[in-house]
Amino acid sequence: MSKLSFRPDFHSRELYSLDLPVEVLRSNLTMETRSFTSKTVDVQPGTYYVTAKLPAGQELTGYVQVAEGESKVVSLKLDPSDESPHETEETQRYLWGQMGYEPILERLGGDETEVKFRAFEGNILKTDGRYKAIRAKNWLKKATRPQPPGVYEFEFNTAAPRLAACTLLQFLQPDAPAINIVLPAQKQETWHIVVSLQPDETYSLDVYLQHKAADALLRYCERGLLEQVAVMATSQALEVLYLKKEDPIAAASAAYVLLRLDAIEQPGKRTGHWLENLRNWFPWLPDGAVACGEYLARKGRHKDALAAFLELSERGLPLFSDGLSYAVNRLKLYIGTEDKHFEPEQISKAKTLLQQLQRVLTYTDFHKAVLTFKGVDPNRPSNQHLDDAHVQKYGGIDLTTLLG
Amino acid sequence: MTLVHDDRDNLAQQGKAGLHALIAGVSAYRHLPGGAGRQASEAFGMGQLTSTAITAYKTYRWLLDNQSKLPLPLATIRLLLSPSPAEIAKEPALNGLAEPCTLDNFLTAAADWRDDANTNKENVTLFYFAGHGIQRGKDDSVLLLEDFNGRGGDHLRNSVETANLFFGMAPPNNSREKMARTQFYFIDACRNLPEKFKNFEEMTPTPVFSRELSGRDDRISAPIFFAAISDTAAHALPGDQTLFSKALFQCLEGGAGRPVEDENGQVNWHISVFSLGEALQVYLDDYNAEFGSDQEWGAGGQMKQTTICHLDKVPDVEIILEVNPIAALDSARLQVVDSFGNPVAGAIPKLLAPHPFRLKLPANVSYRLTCTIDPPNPLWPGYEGTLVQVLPPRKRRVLKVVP
Repeated sequence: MSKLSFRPDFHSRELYSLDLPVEVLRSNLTMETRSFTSKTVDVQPGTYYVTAKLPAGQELTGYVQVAEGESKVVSLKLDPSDESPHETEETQRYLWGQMGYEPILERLGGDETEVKFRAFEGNILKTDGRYKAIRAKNWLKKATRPQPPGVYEFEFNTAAPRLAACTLLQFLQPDAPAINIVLPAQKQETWHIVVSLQPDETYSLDVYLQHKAADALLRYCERGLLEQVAVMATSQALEVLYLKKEDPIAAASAAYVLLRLDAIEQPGKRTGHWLENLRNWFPWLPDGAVACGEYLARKGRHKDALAAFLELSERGLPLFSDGLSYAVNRLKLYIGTEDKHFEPEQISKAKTLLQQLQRVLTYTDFHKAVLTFKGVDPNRPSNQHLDDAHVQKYGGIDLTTLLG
Repeated sequence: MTLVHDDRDNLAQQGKAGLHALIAGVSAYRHLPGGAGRQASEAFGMGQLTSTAITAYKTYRWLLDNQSKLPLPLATIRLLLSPSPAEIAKEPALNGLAEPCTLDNFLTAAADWRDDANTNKENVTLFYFAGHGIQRGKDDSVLLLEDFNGRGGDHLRNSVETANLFFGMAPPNNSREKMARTQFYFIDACRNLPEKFKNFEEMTPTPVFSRELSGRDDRISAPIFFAAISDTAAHALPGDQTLFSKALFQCLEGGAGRPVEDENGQVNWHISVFSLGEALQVYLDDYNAEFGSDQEWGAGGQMKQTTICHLDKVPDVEIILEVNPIAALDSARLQVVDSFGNPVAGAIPKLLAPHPFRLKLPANVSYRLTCTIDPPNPLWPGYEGTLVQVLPPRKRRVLKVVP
């Protein structure tokens, strides 16, 4: 046997520390093995072509000939056309797919356009529950304007035990609807939010998880790179779910990936129990209840599943769009079968909950993994576009000077 | 006639499982502007289509013509078509080939399809819908049938939900039943929600199947390939075909091919759930660039890896070559040899035009690309690449001729 290890050709430490899925192909292009850039693999002597796809879709490739008993390091390089112009842009380009945009024309004269963040607390899934605006100033910990142009990074910390379980961050800009993101306040969590200028000169908003492997999984999913998702699901996603106490939000995102691939059941692993623990140990986390509910439904345990979904009334909106989708589909199914299987009280609660969730679902951007919905009043989601006057009249953190 | 292909008796005699397809395409909407029926007062911004019935027909033809590539023998195809006059003029075979895709016909066809699927766990099912659609969530969309928006009842009465279809095809809570465990769904429709629909959160499409709860959902694979991500539109070339179906066929013809080695060392090529997922967007992006659309496919259901179809030959792979710097293009000469140093068959033009230059080569060998400069130029020594192995659909390579 021979051994291969891998060295991705990155410059930034953040990228270098990321454990990427690799494919080792034989000369006839069939698969020798799949592994990770951090691992060493045993292979038969021969010639191999190694590829590793980045979360933003670019590909690292390397070529190696290895003799019996030999150990070689495969250098994995990007095609020159994909190379980042600056080391500082590697994360934005290769992990997030943010290539940057700079307006072609510069404005002669002043610009009074305001762009803002606002914060809310509350739970619209509770009977008579409402989101109320709160001071957002203490949440913003850091604002940076790295390369590439038009991409701005913000770090928020929502940890504030005095607040209700459910908090929400809102982004306001003229000529577009307000964008809302659910960020729970019960977890000491730094939220990495990226605002990027689009060619239509509106800003888009993306949330990135602190847990790098979980975040990479979400990006692979968003881009339909299912081979990479599958490789990561059976090792890293399971590990993230197992280590849920370290990062329950990452664990919830991993649980959704495993559900999407129908890879929850793994030989020798008590993954069903892990999901139940994710639900029970973190009562502030809506997605623990949803992921567990979906798992129970697939096991045919529909009464238990409905009970899990109904916990959303107390926990609030899921953090992930997959969670909203699973909850709505199952609740609709169960409501349609009300007489035969469930208690009338459960069905009545399910109807109320479904009604509330559907209000949000209609305005949800399902392209985003993190639940993102539109509406300047998060209690009444809508597509209403804002104008300058609208944005100016609301309080919140004015980002105009930060965005330059 | 709905059942346009039926090989059930033959397969039953041999005790074999089979593939059961339900394909529906709606272009002619009776109650939308320009339709043959009574016009509804509200059209929700939708009109007649000219490409979706023919897309469904081409899907049906693809299955018939490629039976040897399918994972199982083709057992049944149920086809529902509501073609536009323009489509019938273009493809006369559409005329009278199948029942129209009304709600009643759809419910009957779906029930029969489900019964057939429920005869053997090894069966495979395929569902393809092309027509108007609206969003209901990440894993759900509403499929609008020919008689959508007719008078009486809910606005969505003559429509069905993919979620209801998907849950209804789950293995039943009765061990005597034998539902197909491999199911493929292709939803070739828009997934945006017209503003006026947003006032009707509780509008209910007609259930396709009775709402019985499933048992343990042990489907081997049940991916849903949505032609568009939610809140976006799917597009088609008028009178021709949907962009999604064009991309899908390119993938199935080899663009999503991957080699697999069997236990005897024989290398076969197949299309899998994952390889299709990856290649679909490559072709959709080609159309997006050509027609200015922004279509992105979306994943739903249970995206578990399995073979969708086989290939009967090694697919071609496209290599897109870009000379850098562009000033060197006129004097750049390309040589392509295989891993044994043999020149690759097929003439490579002296001038790599149009630039970027596209080269199609079989995907089963590795290639070395060399770019020399003629006449020699001290600023541009040329490019000598390492061996490249390229999986379909394509690879872009920059031939950097500067040091």
